Amino acid sequence: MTALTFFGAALTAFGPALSLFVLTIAHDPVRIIVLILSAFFWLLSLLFSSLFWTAVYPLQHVLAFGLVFSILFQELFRFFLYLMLRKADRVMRKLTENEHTQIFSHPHILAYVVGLGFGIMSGAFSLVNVLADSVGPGTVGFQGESQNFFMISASLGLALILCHTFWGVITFVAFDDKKYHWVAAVWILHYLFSCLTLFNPSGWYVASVLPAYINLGVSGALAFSCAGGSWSRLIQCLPRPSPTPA
Amino acid sequence: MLVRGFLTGLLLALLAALATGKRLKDRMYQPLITHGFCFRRTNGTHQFGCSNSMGGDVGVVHVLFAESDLDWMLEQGPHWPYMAVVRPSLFTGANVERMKRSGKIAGIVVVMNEALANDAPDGYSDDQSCPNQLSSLYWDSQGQCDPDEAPWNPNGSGMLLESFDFPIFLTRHENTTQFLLEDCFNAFNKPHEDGSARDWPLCAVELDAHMYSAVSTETCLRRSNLVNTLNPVKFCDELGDFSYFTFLKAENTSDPSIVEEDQSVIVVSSQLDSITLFDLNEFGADSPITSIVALLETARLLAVNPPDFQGDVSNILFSLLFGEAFDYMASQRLVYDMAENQFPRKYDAEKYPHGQKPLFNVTRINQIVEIGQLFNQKSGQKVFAHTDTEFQGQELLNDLLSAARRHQLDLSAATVSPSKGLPPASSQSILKAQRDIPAMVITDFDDQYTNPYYHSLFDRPKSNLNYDHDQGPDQEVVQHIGRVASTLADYLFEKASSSRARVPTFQANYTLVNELLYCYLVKPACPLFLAVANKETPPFYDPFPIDPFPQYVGVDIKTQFHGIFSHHLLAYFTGEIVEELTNNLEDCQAPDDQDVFSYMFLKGESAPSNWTGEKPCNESVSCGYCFKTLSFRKESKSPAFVIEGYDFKSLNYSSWAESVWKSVNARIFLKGAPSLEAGFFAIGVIVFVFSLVIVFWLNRHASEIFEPGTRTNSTESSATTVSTAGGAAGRPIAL
Repeated sequence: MTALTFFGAALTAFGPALSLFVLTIAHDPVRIIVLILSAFFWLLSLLFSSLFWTAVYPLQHVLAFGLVFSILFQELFRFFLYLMLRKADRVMRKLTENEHTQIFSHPHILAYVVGLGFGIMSGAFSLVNVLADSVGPGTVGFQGESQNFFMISASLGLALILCHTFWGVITFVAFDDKKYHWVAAVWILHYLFSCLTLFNPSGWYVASVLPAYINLGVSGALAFSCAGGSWSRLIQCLPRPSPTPA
Repeated sequence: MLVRGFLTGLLLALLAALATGKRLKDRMYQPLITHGFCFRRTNGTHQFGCSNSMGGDVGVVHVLFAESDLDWMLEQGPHWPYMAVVRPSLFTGANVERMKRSGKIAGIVVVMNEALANDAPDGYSDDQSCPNQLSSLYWDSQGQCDPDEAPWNPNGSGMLLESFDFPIFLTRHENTTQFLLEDCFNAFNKPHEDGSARDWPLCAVELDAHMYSAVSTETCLRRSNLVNTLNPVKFCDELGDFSYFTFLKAENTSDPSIVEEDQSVIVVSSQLDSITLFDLNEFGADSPITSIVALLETARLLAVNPPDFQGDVSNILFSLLFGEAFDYMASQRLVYDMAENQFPRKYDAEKYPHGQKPLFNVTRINQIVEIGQLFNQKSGQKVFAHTDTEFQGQELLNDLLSAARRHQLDLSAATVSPSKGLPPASSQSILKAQRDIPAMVITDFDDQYTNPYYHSLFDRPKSNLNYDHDQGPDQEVVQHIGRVASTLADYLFEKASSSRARVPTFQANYTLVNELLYCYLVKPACPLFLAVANKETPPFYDPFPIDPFPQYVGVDIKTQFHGIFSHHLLAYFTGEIVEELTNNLEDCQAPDDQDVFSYMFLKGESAPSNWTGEKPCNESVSCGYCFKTLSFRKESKSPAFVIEGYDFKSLNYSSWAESVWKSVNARIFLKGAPSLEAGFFAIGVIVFVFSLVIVFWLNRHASEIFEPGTRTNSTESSATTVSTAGGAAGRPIAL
């Protein structure tokens, strides 16, 4: 019965990521490898933050503490991954010379794939418990929780996945171009996103979901311009009543 | 574990959705703590009791505190299947039958917390109105009990002989009851004032006690025996335990192979077990504890002042039969063992050169005195002696009545005996084998049970017997049982002695009777049970439970403490201390070349004076007394399971088995609106399709929207690719 809720929430949270994967990643084996590598780096960051969390025993029950350091580790590992990929750049190009891939010749594509890998893993870990419980037969509400809890969680997960993708693009471009203020911007956006979810336990979902999507919009716009997107050309491409030949 | 800790901790941090740090699951599901449930039993031809679909049944909670709630649920309630949460007084045969027939029920939870503990219907019995009818001596003949016209058990609901395809659970738990009634029903489900149903989300309960066995004992045993070496599965267990016996006088025959047909042994018997619909809730007071206590006290009185056995009577056999609630299983086995020459034990001259108890069969029985239910608030102090329709022992009955008069016991002959015969009683099994044995059954009723709660949850000491240990030995029930015991002792002494013997003044020990009732009915960790404890019983084997020991006969692979303690008491009251073996647990073994008596090590009521162990006596298992006893036990499993190739369709023997179950679960949670769930699903699909379209579109136009990369080391190749939009792989450049 409540399998409906499960599929609804899962498709909401991971549907866009799935679309991106199927249409932009799946056709290229090298992209898949890089995606998994990046997901693995997110897991490494999780491992280190959990070690740290375990070590600092007295603060284990303070949510904000874990959150702050977890984000720190994620961003550090994003940086490590950048360093590694840059170091390996030449070798990778050589290795993939005979492949049809364009990933190493297009730094934005690489950045995007890395970001998506981070996002998918982070989204999976933040939602797996909620999704498992959404199968039912019960739902939340004994303590006054919203009946939309599962969908709210899913939509936050969706925003988180997409944000990570954008942050990946911004960070890589920023390091490449030595525009370190963009890196700082990513860190701030990440902290903002996550800290606002601290409102969730109080049930102020508006306070977390709305800013999360504003955050997503800002991150998206930043990433768009970082990747060399042009708003005017975007608008040109939009379908019009009388299409002009491209 | 550690890794899981990491992950859980981090998830909490990342999601920040759980304020209390509890798993989401723990906030969604409240455990429903249960104290018993109805389970499946089978007999030779049918299945009874409850089972449910695999994985459990879910229903929306509706609390039934008045008949009108039941009407609302079955007639108006739109959200069925319902999980009926019922107060005990509404859990009657008629109501359950109505719910069963409606098909709108997912299960029943009976709530019986402190406040509802005495919320009994006026009269209620889980058993049939004609208990054990199919095994009755009078089946299909004169004296047959008619369920419609003056049955023995007028309150019988027959619930035990119904098959339910939904689960029925019982809870006494205070918090669970409160949660069900307040946080669950009142907060979410209670219909509006105008009788209209509340909207989703609704509070629901899931019950799961899935039973493996089905159809009948025969089917289930056949399935269990299917050759399946890889994964042997047992679907059911045969019911059975041990019956306990003691002779009053040691008998050792030179040639036990000869069965003496001397009609010289008086059998005094009582049923040891009871039954209710709910597992582990068999705490019967009137039936069977009053009769067990009376039998034990009678045995004790006679052991202290034994008759000389110089007359026609050579011995007295006390028997506690375990399993009588199931078609006289134990007495059928007794008669079967007697007929097979294996009661008390098969003759084995090689193993027992120093003698064994002589073989015993029905021809040795002089008469049967059976003790049935003895007291409840409705019966008062009146007792009746029932006899068979073909009873030929009027002078015995007269002697018994005059013994009763000597002890101020209000005993009279049952008025219905000549036409209706014996009430449900073990004697019927013996009379089936030998009809001319005089049998008298002493009970607290004349033509039908006065016990309003026979074989039910409500046959409890306080409500049904008005028993309170603190009231001491002067209270009615104690006095009454004492008088029955002294009457019987008096009568039996007179029968078993030569005419010259002087009958002593038998005076029951009322304090002891009070203590016995306390042990059996209120608190098992009581002085008397502690006095007969040894290494095989609590407190040394297991801790004592808080509730009394359940009196259900149980499955054959497990021996119930209820029976074990009864056996020990029998040995304790009738045995004699072997002085030189005091505090000597290891050597308390009777010589194994004989089968006349045995030794049993028991703690005793007071510590032996010469105890020198390190631990205090009450903590040490080897501090106590060694009793030489004539008591013994015999398996009470039905002959149906012993006879090779027994035809289970015949009604000859009881053939009850209990289903196996693996897990029992019960939980309370909220169920969301189905429409909302469908909405969620729709949103998910829309989001997915929409994202597919956008990504497809962006991917197609990527090369137009994005500038080529500007990084020095990749400008070249990027530029090339972009200029040849469409890509080397024949695709546009992707995002």
